[in-house]
Amino acid sequence: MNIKNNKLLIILLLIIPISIMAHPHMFVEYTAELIFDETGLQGIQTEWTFDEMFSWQVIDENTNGDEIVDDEEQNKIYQNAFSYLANTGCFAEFWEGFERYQVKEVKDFKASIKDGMLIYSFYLPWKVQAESEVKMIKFLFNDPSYYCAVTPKKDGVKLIAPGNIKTEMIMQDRVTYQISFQKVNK
Amino acid sequence: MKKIISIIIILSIVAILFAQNPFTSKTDKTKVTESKLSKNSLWLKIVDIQKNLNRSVSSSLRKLKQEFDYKIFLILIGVSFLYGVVHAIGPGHGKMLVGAYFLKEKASVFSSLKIGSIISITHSGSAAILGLLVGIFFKSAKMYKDDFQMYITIFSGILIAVLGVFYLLRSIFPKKFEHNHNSKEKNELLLGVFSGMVPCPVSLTIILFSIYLDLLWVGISCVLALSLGMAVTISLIGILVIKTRAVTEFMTRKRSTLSLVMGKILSISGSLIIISIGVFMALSKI
Repeated sequence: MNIKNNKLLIILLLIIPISIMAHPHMFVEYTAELIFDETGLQGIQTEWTFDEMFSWQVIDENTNGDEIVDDEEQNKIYQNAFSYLANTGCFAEFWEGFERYQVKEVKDFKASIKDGMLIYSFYLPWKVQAESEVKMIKFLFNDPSYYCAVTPKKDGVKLIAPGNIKTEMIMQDRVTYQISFQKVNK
Repeated sequence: MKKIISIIIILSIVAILFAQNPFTSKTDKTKVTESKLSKNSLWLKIVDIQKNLNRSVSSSLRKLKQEFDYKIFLILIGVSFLYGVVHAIGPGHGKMLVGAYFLKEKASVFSSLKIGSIISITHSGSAAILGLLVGIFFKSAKMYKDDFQMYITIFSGILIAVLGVFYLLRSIFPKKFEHNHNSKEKNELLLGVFSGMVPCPVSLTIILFSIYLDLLWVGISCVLALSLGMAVTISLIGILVIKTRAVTEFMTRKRSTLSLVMGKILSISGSLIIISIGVFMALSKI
């Protein structure tokens, strides 16, 4: 087989696996607040809004259908449609420099319903000490199975920091946020 | 060539391994994995398109629930068709198998259209039947659990692997196996049905949602249009493989020994890919 023939097959065989890049069966849009105190980053408070059809499935299975989610319904939603995800780190891909940070716990989970859409809010503790030198962190939410597409809402990510912490945020690509921060004199 | 085949197999495994809903399914995959693909701009564009199409489907169904309007219905059918075209670009819709089959087998464009249609009809049809059973008998999504998806994926994987072993034996010992037009038709039908039998989660969701809105026939129409869209994409992948195979054969026609060896390699490689896909589909769920 000559080189030209080989190339044809290679191109063809590469086209097929490219299809891996489009699968999602459900969609999540999120907002996030990175919370800093005087010592540095403390964690991320995030809110996830699900697509209407997945929302309906969870609402139908775990609630009485009104938009008020009582304690018992909160618990059912947590057990049936969140705990598995919480145990595996909530799709969090967090980086301190080149070191990957594994999310260990999820706090303050709350489910709510607005206009038929299911909304989860929760807090992911992630402590990174601020110093006088600039520190870099990166974060995104990503489902490695491609079953669920998690994307940020427009202008949905904010930094909440006190005066002694100087912060800067840039979007590396459409899903990854890079944040630099350092301690400064007030 | 070996490297390329390895890459394809690894990528298909990655896709299939995690094909259950991560919100409602128990998983042992506690290790954090990183994916560069999800940051790819092409992937993100496709996600955006699918997100908008998904939103259009649900909002159109809601509008039709409030007041039926044929214009909205026709738009919904068109949107569902487009959703099918884009959705089938992703893994888990039999394209790898179609590619491997036509790599292995010399076939016509018609064969690709046929297999593409069988896969998408079975894929959406099984979802529609499951949705109807769940929706009509239980009137909600409560009774549907991902366990069903798991068992049917294992079953489908085993059948595909068995079919792959048969193809492999036939490639190695062609004289011992009957290979006429009828057996080819039968093989194509089996491959299509085995590949498509795992219900499509999107079709299932649309059917359940339409039952909830009391718009069952609209939901079925949506799923039909979605199937047609998926058939277009799957068939196009098949046609691409068929044409490339034909070009490769044409270029090696003057060297008959090389052409023969080439045909044999393609045939065995295709069979091995089919076996691998089947085995990993089944193992990933056990």
